[in-house]
Amino acid sequence: MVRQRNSRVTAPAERALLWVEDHLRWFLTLPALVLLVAFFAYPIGRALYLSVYSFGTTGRSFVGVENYIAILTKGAFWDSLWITAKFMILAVTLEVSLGIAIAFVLNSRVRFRGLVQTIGIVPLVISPTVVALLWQLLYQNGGVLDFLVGPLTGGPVPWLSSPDVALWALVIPDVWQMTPLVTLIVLAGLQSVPDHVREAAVMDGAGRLRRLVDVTLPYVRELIVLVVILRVVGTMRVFAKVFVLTRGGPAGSTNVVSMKLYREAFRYGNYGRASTMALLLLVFALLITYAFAKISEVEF
Amino acid sequence: MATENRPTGGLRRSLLRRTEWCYDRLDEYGLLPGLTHGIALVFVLWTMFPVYWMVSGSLRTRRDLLATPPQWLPSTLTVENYVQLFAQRPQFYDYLFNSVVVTAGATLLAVALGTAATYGFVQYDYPFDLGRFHLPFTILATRFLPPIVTVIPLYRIFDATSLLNTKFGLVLAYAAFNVPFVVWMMKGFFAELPDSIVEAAIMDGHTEIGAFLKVVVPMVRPGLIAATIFTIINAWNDLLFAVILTSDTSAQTLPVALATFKTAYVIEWELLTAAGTIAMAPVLLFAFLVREKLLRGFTMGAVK
Amino acid sequence: MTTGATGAAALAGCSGGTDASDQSDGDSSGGDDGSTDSGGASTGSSSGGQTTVKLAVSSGDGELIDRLLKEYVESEVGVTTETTVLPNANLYERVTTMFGSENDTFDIVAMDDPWMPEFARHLAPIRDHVDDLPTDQIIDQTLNIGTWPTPEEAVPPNAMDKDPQLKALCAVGNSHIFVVNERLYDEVGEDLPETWDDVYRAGKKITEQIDGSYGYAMRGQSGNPITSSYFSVGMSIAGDMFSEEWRYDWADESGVESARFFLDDLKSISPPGVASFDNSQVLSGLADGTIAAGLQWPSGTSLLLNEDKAAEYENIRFVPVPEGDQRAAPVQGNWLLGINSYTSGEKRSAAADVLKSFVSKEAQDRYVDLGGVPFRHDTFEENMDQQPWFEALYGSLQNAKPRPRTPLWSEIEVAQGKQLNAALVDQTGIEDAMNTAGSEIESILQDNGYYD
Repeated sequence: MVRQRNSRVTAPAERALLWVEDHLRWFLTLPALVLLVAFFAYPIGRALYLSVYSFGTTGRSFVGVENYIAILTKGAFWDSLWITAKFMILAVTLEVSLGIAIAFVLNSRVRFRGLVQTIGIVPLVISPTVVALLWQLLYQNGGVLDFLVGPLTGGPVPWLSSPDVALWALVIPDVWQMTPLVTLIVLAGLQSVPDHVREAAVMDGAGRLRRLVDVTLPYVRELIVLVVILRVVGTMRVFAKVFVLTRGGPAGSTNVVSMKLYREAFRYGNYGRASTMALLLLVFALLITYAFAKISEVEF
Repeated sequence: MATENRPTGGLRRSLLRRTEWCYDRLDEYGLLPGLTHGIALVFVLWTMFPVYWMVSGSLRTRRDLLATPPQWLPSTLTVENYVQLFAQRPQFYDYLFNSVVVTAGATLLAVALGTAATYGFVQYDYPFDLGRFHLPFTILATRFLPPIVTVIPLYRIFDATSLLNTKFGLVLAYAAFNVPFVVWMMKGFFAELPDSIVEAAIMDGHTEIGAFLKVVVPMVRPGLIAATIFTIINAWNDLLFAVILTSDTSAQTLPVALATFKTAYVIEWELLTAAGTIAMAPVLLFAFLVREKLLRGFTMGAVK
Repeated sequence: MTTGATGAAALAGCSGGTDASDQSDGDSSGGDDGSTDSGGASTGSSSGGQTTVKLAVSSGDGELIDRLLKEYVESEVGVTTETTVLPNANLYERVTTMFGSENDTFDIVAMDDPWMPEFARHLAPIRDHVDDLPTDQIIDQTLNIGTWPTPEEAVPPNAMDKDPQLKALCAVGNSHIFVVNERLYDEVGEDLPETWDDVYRAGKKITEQIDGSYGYAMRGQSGNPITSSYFSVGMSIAGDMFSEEWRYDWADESGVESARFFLDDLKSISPPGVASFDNSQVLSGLADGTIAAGLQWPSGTSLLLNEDKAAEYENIRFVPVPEGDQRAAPVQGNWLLGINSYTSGEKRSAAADVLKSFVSKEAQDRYVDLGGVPFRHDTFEENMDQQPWFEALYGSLQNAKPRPRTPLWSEIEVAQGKQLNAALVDQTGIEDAMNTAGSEIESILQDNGYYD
């Protein structure tokens, strides 16, 4: 990269500034990296350390890889992973597809676009505990949702008390709250398609859909990858809604991984098993997203 | 970089063509505005209803709120809930203040550091070509670690460094947890910049830092605003770290207060709806004020 | 004020400068360091200003505790108290994190009694820091529940050789009482129930005859809610959950019968969706008349007597927990206050003084004026008219039994709750559920050396 330097640099301050500029690539990235290392290196290290211990009523004892083996071979972990995966697939599919669709709608000439956009933010702004409690209210027997859906099902729906329905009853608030996130991010991307590129495509006589696919989509492709990754990780970590609405029930049908993790760490005091689980989850998440990112050819 | 040619298979082609046909027909009959406005309206209603329920609930008595069948419009309005809230929890002001301070600080820090880092990754070369993918990916990967596992070791670090129960500690923690998000959010926006921009700016007489701050940053403003808003939301709503790393009202934030309304025995709907409504307001206000900036597109004025 | 502080400090100095006695119970099931003795003699040195005692309490009862402290205890003892009301759902993890790091953020912590065995090793023995605790009038059950190992209850094997020490004092004298809607009972011609059979019979009539009302509701949500809710039924029909040797006792004939009563009979007179109910829904149902009867902790019942919050506020009656075949078996559920053993000796003394004042007769008289739940004989006797439920609670407390006292209670509770909940939604058979619960629980105990 060619750089032209003004030659009137002599003062020490300016020399220092130049030194900074020479090493700008480090000055730009190091603060962020240092912060992250400080906040993540120790926890990961500690998790690794704890994962080879077992905590029981007689104190802790070194068990090596026993925790890993126990968790990976006993069914409970995989069961809850499967439930989490179900939740993730349902929620992410809905959120991403609805979110993108609405982003396109908002991108066209809709009146009061600014207002609609701000309205879209509202669910995101509400505290997760409040969202969960709010939906508990809406799911109340004979409450709002029963009233709306009642005519179709002929009676109140066991939203939170039926093992078959409960997972959906958790997906709905998540979709409600998070679709706007997808919409807003994708919309920001759509908005940044440079006018001249768009105009040129129109002038070229490209049909609307061709324009969409060949011109607009590449701009938002990376943002879509981002929101998918964000929502995948987000749904994997869902906790407040599960804890408040079902606590893992009924009959364990919503026993997502974060519930299990929470119980191990904060209720049973089994920091060893909790750390093991967390590390396993980290590895899974890394594998999935790494593969996904590589396939989508995401690059800087 | 801007345009790509993607080969499309036969089925996809015909599907696209058919959709395009529908679209053009709709456009011809002038139905398109109706459809788009209709969808927008449904979106608004669906999104706002639970919020309406909460806000209107904050102006009603508990009995009215819980009545079945649901009372759609409040029959009597009362501000008693808000009065009760401030009477019973006078520390609510403290929580609000703490939330504002911590969120503002964390957002500034996260956006500044994250944006700088992303620019670096996009613009410069790093040893072993790490900057292309692996460093940013590692940064994103930090989000994958379940917070439960991070919080306990963090408690010990904070304890050792006297950061426990301080707003500053929370600011650092939230900034650290949001930098990854900012990095990946901004990545897309930086990547779209034409390569020539920085060079042109330098030729115009800017220094490299100046080029970054005065030319590049304004061009990615929609991304910056989006990243800011989402970081604000994350910091504003976090519960776990706020509960574990703080111990009194000198540093506790709103989510902690909100969670106390679910007591061991009952959900205090009256206070919860009122507090929830108040808790929404500052962030919403901010988002509303910057909505235009989010919408403004790529300004082409900077580069000829 | 300074005289008060010196006075308190002098008292503390006199209460024996013994070492904080043995903390490492070996009963540890948490904290990722081996338990360490926090040592340090309790010094009686007086400080110039006032000591501040910091407490962590749960929302729901915590506010009342705070008020009593501010309105009475502070001036009596001469210290300042700073109470942090934490969300009920988060108090546990906040406290365990603090104990795990042997931190002194809070000097006094509130805990639900089932957590006490787990926390016992982190708590300072109260009697070491203060003399003359006014405990003669405190109801025995509430005193015992704060003692570790708990007298008259099965004791985990590795705590058996310990001397019982008072580690926490009762702050809320909760025990299950039974709430009944008299109007609904009158409508079907039933008297207030005395046995579970009464409840079922009347409830059946109510569910069938009165539109929109159901005879009973339990907290059916998986985990702690359903297990707590089941205890008063289970213990009254099937007896104790564990034998002296910690063998599971609820999968035998009477255990299954009891489970069947709860999961079939009572369920049939409960509203739909009961499998997701926590206390809030039961309370709301009682308040608006959709539920005719249910178990409640007294702390939560102020709502039911409030005209603005409960449509049925005139019809609510409180009776003792119904009897089963064995006996009436209300389950005890006290909030306790314990002293953090990792705080300085001085603070521990101050904290002990605070607790001593808190449980005194005068303080308790004030406490019930504020709406608190008492636990002293004299408080009950002299204030019986304060709340409509005092009488029921007084009888209940003296009959009450706590849940099994073991540091493993959290795991046991979740295992049991999961099975009960699964049977409630007909996902498994009742007998299977109790058997599975039994084997899971016994394997937990086995892994922790309870049967060796």
